[in-house]
Amino acid sequence: MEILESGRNFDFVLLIAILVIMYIAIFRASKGKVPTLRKLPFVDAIDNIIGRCVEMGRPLTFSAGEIRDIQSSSSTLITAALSVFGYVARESVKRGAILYVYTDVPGVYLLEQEILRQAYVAEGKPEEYRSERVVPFLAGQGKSMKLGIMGFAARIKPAGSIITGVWLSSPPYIVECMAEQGAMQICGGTGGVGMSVFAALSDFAIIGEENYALGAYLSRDPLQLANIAGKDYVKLVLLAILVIGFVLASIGSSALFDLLSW
Amino acid sequence: MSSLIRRQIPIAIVAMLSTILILEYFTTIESIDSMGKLSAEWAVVIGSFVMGLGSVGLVRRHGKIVMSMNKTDSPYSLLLLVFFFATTIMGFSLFGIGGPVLNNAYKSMYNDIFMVMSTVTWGLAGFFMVSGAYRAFVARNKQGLVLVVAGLFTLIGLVPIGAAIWPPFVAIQEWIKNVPGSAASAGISLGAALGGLSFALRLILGIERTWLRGSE
Repeated sequence: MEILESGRNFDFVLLIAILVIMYIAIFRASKGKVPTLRKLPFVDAIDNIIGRCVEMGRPLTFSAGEIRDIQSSSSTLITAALSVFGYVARESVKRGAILYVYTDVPGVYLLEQEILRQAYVAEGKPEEYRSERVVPFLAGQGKSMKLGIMGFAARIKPAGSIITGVWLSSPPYIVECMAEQGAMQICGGTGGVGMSVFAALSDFAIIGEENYALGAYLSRDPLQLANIAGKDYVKLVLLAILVIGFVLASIGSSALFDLLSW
Repeated sequence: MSSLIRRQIPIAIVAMLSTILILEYFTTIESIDSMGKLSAEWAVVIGSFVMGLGSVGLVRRHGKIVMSMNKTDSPYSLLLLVFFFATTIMGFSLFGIGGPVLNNAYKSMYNDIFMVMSTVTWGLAGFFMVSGAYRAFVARNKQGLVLVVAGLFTLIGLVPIGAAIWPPFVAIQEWIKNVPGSAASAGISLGAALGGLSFALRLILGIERTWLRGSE
């Protein structure tokens, strides 16, 4: 009897190889060999946007996405967005910016409340935390959320908006109603309508894998940075497989196709 | 609260369940398969509890706003609470409670209010797209110029008059979508998938801990 599912043997070997490469990168960082990552333009923009909100005396808004199910396959992206939120929350509280965070995911709503509360506690200002004001639950449904955001933005008039995570059809609504209020925008998505809208209309776009890397970059944690570097080594391996596949397919060999379906 | 409960136990649960679900996909071992299915059922049950907890939080939050008599926020919160409880009560008709009156009220609320408002919301997207396109189609630099040119060819190629003016518009539009568009999309998707995998590893190893109430 075969232990591995037929047709998934190569995937399994590749997954193990990827995990080993990433683990080696993390192990090296734990021994003091911390990799240097290239500078991402929107990282400085996050600090600038918080400063802008403080100077203008207007709030900053944050959202970790609109998907309605935290148990879905998108949960890693939501968690990555929450790790960015942890940084934004601490910096906003430290510098005195009013931060509003909105979502349409009940589970995320609770996590955001708690992360923001912890930021106030960590900065020694627990008495200033007002969850009923700064963490609105706009809707449990996408279309209602769109209307909620429009009204919410018109009422609080934000000077900055940061959104990352999973986005479906809300991006045009959010980006345009925030732009109408004169908010500087940093927007992130990994695909679909959202990413195109963000790339074309926001001041700074966080595209694809940058959404996952941003939290690590902001944390400056050597182990998390090593994980990002490990992922880049994996990319080189995948690139090599792509080139080999291109060459083999060009000479009429199906060896790589056979290997992939092993 | 001790570090064991706040940090180590949640990380252990994530690591254990993630490993089971990965093995469930790759292996034919029946016990792992049944453990994977069981954990998926737990996720649904826990998710339902979270929904309940979220509802309680929602009522508490908006209750506080209504009680504060804040002129800006209170009316909206009151409206939300009224509709929240009305929908909940009418929802009992789905279980055969309340008879046809409640059932009709539920259907009416859904079809005559919710659906109409949803359609209106979708309709608004057109206006946002137009104003967005107006802002985006400004060739401030080389990249902006590429966007404007690609966008214009795509727009003209998609509308019937485009083909009437010059038939190759359609072919150009399709080429933009299928060649550079899908190549860029595939590259971004591959990168995002790898990013997700590396992030999952950070979660499994307990390196990424912000989700544990933002604690460092």
